[in-house]
Amino acid sequence: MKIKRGLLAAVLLLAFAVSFFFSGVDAVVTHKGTVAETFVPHYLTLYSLSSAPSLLLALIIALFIFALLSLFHGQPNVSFLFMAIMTVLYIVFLITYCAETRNNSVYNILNEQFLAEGIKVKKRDFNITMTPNWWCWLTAALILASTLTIFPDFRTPVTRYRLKRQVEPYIFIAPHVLLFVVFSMVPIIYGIYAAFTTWDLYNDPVFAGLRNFRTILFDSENTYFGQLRKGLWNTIKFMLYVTPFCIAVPFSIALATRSITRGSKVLQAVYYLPSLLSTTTVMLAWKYFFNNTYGMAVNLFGSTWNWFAPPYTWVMMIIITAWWGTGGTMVIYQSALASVPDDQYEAAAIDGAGAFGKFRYITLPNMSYPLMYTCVTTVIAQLNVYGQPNLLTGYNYNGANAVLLMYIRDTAFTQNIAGIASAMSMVLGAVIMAISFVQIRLMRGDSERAKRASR
Amino acid sequence: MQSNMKRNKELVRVSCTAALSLIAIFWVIPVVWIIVNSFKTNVEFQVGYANFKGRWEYLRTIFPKSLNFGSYVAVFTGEGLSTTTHITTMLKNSVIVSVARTAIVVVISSLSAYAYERLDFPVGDKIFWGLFYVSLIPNIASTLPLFKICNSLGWLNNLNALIWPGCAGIMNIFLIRNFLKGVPKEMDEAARIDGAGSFAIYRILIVPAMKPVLMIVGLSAFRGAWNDYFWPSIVMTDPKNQTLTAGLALLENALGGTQWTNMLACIIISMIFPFVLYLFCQKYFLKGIQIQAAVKG
Repeated sequence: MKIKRGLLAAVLLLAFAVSFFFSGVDAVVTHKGTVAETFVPHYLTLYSLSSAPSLLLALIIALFIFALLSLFHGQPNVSFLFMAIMTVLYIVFLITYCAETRNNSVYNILNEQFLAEGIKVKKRDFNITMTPNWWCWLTAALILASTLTIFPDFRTPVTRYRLKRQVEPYIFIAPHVLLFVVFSMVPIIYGIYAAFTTWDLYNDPVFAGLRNFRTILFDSENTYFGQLRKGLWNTIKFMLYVTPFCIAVPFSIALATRSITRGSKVLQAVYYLPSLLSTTTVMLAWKYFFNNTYGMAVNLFGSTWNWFAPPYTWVMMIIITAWWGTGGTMVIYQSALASVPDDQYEAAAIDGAGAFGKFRYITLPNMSYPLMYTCVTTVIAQLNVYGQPNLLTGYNYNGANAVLLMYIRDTAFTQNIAGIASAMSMVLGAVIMAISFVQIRLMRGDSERAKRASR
Repeated sequence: MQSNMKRNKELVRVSCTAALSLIAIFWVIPVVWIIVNSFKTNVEFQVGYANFKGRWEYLRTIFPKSLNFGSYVAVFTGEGLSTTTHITTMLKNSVIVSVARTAIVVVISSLSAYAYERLDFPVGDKIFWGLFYVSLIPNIASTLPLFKICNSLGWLNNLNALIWPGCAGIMNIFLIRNFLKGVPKEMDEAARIDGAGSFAIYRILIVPAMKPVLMIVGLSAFRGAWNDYFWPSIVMTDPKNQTLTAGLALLENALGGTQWTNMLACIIISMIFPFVLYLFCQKYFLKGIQIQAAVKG
C-alpha cells in the first residue's frame, strides 16, 4: 500500500515536470494602440534570472530533485515536506512574477517587437500584463495532488513523533542549504554555462559554443588572448616568487622562537599582527614605505632604484606578501614544532646527530604534514592574487604586473564582455581546482588518520 | 664536553633572541612610520620631507614636532579637505556587514553541523559531502553570475549583497562538525529520554559545549567580512557607500597626492578594529589557525 502511494506520488511529480516545461505566462503590452505580445515559458524565466521570482524557480527545481531523491530513498515524509514547500513557492512565484510590470528580460523581448515595427518606447512607459497559461494551473494542481498523495500520518502520537524526527534535520540545515543553493550552486552552474555564451552581464546570455575559448586560447591577434596569457603568466609568476618566501620566512622564525626562552609570546604577537590587516591597509601602508621621495626604503635603507618599475615591483610584492602572510603560517609551524616529542631529539643526540642531522632527520619528517598543508593553502591564496598588483602598480608599464583577476574584473565590469570574462575565470578556476585536489587528498587523509586514532 | 654543549645552547639562545628582536623591529617599522607621521600636519609633512640631508636628518624628520590630532578630526569632519571622505559611512557599513555576517554564519552553521552530526539523519552525510565538493569549485567561477543575481534582487549598492552570499560557505560547518565529534553524546541522549526536543538540546546542551569553536568560526567570519576587498569593490557601485576596506582604495585616489597625513589617519583607523578584536580574543585567533590546519598541539 505504502509503496503504491509513493509510486503514485513519483508519477505525479514527473507529470509535474512535464507540465512545468509547457507552463509559462502570456505577456502583453499596449502602447498607443500597438500591441506586442509574447509567451514566456518558465524555463526562459529561469534562464534569464532577471528578478527575485526567477530565483524561486531555481529553488523549486532544487526542491524537485530533492523530493524525487527522497521518494526513491523510501522517505515519503521528507518528500512531503519538500513538495509542500514547492507548492507554496510555486504559487508565490506566480503571484510575484505576474505582478512585475517591468521585468527586464520580458521587456527586452517585447521591445524588439516594437523596434521591428519602428516604434520607440521608453522602458518606464512599459506596463506589461502577464497572465499564466492553463498549463500553470495544471502544474500547480499536479504538485498539490502529489503532495496530498503522500500526506503523512498525523493520527497517533507515535507517528507524529516519528514524522517530527524524520523531518527535523532538514529544517535545521534548511537556512544554510537555501543560501548555498541561491548564492553558490546557481551561480556556479550559471558561470560555467556563461563561459560558452555571449553575455553582457545584465541581459540574457546567448549560446555561442566554444567561441570564447577559441578567442582567448588560440586567436593570437585578439586582445583577450594577450590579456589571458599575460595575466595568467603574471599570476603564476607571482605565485612562484612569493610562495617560497611565505614558507621559508615563517619556518625560520618558528624554528628560532623554539630555541629562545624569554619573550616568545611578545614576539609571536608582533609577527602575527600584520596578518590581521586587510589588503588595502597593508598595500597602502607599504606604498608609503616604498615611496620614492619620502619613503623609508629610499631614504633610510638607501635603495637607489624606483620600486614601482617592473623588475623591482616583484621584489616589493614579495616583501609585502611575506610580511603580510607570515603570521598564520608561523603559528601553524610553532604548534607543530611544539608537538614534536623531546625524546626523539635526545635519542638523536645520543646517536651523535649534530644540529643539522637533528633538523634533517627529526624536525623535517615531523613537519611534513604542516609544510604540505601550508604550501597548498599558500599557493591557492597566491593564485587568487588581486589586491597587491591592483593597488600598487595597476596596469602601469604596459601591464607588467597585471594579474588575471584584474583583467577578468575589467572585462566583465568595465567593458561588460562577461562571456569572455567567464571563460577566463574558467581557465583560472581550472588551475586553482587542480591544486585544491591535492588539498582534499591531504584533508581526507588527515580525517582518516584521526578516525583511525580515535578507534 | 657537557659544558661545551651547554655553552653552545646558550649561544644559540642568545643569538636567536637577538636576531628575532632585530627582525621584529624591522617588522613594525612600516606601521610605526604611519602612526608617527599621522600626527603631523600636511604642511609639516611636506616641508619636512622636501628638505633634509642624509639618513640621520631623515630619521629626525620622521618624528612630529608636536602631537597633532588634526588629521584624524579632519577625516571625520571634512575640514580643510578637498573632498568629503565618507569615512563614517564606510565604518558603519563595515561594522554592520561584519557583525551581521558573523551572527548569521554562527547560527546557521552550528544548526547545520548539529543536524549533520547529532540528529538521526540517514542521508545527511551524502548531502554534506555533496555540498562540500561543489564548494571546492573556486569562487571566481561564480563571481560574475553572483553579481547578476544581486542585480536581479535589487541588491547592487545594498549591504545585503555583502552579507548573505558570504554566509553560504561550508568550511565552517566542517570545522564545527569535527569539533562536535569530540563532544560526548551521552548527555543529549539522556536529555532526549527526559523528553527534550532537538532544538532544546541544541540550545541548552550543544551550544554551550560548542562555544570555543563557535568563537573561532565567528572570528574568522568577522575577519573575512572585514577584509573583503574584491567583492565589495564590485557590488557597491556608489563610492559614497563603500565598506572601509574597499573604500580605502578610493580614499587613496581622493587624498593620496596632497593630503598625506589625512590618508595616513584613514589607514590607522582601518587598523584599529582588527587590533582591538585581536587584543580581546587572542587565544581564539591562534587556536583557530591551529584547528584549521588540523594540527594537534
